[in-house]
Amino acid sequence: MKFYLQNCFVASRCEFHLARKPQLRPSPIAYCLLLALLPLAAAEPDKLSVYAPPARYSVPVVSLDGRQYVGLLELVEPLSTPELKPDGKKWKLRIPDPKSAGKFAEAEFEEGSATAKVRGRQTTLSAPARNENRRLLVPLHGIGTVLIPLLGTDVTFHEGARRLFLGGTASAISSELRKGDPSTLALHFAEAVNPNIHSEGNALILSFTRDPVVSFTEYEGLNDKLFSSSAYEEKNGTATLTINGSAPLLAKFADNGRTIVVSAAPAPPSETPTASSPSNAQPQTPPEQAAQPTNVIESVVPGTAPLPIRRPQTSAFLVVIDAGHGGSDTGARITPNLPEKAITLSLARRLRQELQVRHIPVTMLRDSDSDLTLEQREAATNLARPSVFVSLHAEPGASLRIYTPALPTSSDAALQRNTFLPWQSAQGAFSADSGALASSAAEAMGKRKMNAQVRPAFLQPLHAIAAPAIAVEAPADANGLKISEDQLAGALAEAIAGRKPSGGGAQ
Amino acid sequence: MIPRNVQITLVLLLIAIFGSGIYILLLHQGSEEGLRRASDQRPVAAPVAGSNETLQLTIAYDEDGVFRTRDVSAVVPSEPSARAKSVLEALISYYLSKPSPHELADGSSVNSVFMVNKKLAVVDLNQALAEGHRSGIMVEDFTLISLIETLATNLPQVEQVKILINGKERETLAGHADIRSTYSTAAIHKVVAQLQ
Repeated sequence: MKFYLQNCFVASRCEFHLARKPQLRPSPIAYCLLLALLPLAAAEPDKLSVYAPPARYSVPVVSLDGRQYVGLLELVEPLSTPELKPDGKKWKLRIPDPKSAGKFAEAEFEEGSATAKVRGRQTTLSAPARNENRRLLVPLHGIGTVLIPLLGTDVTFHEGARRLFLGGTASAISSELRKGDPSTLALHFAEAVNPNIHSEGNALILSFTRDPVVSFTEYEGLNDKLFSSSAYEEKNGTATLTINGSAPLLAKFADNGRTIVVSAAPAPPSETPTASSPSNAQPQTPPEQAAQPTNVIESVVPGTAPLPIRRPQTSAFLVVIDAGHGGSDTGARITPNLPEKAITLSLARRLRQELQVRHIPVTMLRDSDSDLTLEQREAATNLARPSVFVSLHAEPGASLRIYTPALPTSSDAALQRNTFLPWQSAQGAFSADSGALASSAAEAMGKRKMNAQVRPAFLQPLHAIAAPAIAVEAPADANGLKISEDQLAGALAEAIAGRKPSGGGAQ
Repeated sequence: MIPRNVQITLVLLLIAIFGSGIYILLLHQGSEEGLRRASDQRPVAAPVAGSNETLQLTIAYDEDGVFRTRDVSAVVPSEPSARAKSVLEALISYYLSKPSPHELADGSSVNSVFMVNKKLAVVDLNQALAEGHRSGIMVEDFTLISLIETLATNLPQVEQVKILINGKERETLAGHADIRSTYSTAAIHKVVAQLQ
């Protein structure tokens, strides 16, 4: 049986004492190690984002001999039900023909050969196909020569940014500056979008990974008192729109997610001490604007051990949001093309916005389709020392449920918070608070006409979380959540905000 | 010259004779097969050494979100490991029958149960149960709770239960329910009491 001490608490205590005893300094070796590890952790793996009418997804890109390759099966699997069979050095791909029902489209590739046959016609690849660990890799450059005849669809490939648009999915962003005091900037999209939004100083950055948005302008001066310029960039499967302002900015969704309205961020209550990182605190910025909660948002970098998440201040009220599943762990299949992980990420981003509007700092354990083990989630959360932990899930059912952690071990002795806690049952010291948080969340949902059941569950990673923790499982179907995402996120944010002490400190 | 009516009668009689002969032949073969089977003393299934007992199963009802107990009669061995396996097989059979209050994947079963110091039961479930299990917090939890509570009810000496899938440890049953931990039957009983 695994039973080991919660070593993150040891780390946290050291930090606490160091803050009060300046004569004690951490070892320079620790600094060197941390500095050496940071670039490794920050390097995001190369990926190709694919936008097609039935699905939006990312596939990993592999670099071999200076050329970029992508797994053929991974590329076409979300679009169809392909069969890829090796036959000696040859590989045969067979997919249901998108053009005529009941028929099949076939393609043939050969390892080490740049010649392929698609629907019986010979085509030349930009580099030889490769077999890596029983995966057929095809070169990314000129991938359209395979996809256009195979899928019989339009292909637009932004190769430098690795964004692939199939079937005319690309849609341009249009912006509308509404002059006033203060002005607002409305960004209109052809369909509902769900970008990752964060701010750096007075710049608001919207990152679109799953949305097929494009812009024809890389830089635009806005010539406004509040908005100075907007810049558009595409990189590694993601489009990024940066709105530069003269004061901190805030984004709000409108028109069912098809419009994002950017405006000046309201000043946080002066009595609430929120966090700001030293690098973001501009000397000329008014103090009430410098204290933006978004400064503390960070995500765990996929494929690496979780980094010590920057904690704003020991006294700040911090919420950690765990978007359930991610990466290879898809969670429940709501429909063949809609995995649970996509719904939880969307809901997590919405909840983050709702909390930010209430001036509550938030950390997302994942803000992309990344793999995270349960232990990484536990460690990242406990290192952040949150005031509240929320894990989000979805299932193809009809009921909205809030789960409180049930512990697999029973102990008569109540755990004390300020001592070492057994890792697997650290939640034991916070059970009462978790129950109270679940009741508050159910009440807030009830006010919004959403009937939620509160139940105990043996759910990972709640056992090991050293903070009040709940999990929410929302009903979903082919169209996404069956209940309003805005309403659900709003209710959760309201319940969490209700637990924030009036002084703004951690509980 | 044989009259036409006599010819017809003779043909009908011949057909009746042949038909009766074939029928008698089939009857004879059937009776021989029956005798052969009756004289074959080889067992068709492994004998279960044990008494016929009434087992109490803790059944999960997904629709109502509750647990209810049901009594079933089964031949249960006295040896603890074999007894534990029989108890869990009875529970899984209940879920596999249609209509089921809590559906499990076809082919779900228990590979084996190991008893350690009479108090810890290590339950090895088969791959089909885990791989075909529906993914969801409640449905996974219900399977886990139902298995452990049923085991603890029928083998009161069991205090802890560890779940394996095909002989290996896993983090979750199907993405949610924790099977990394070793469960205390008392903790499970407390949750069942809340959900009855």
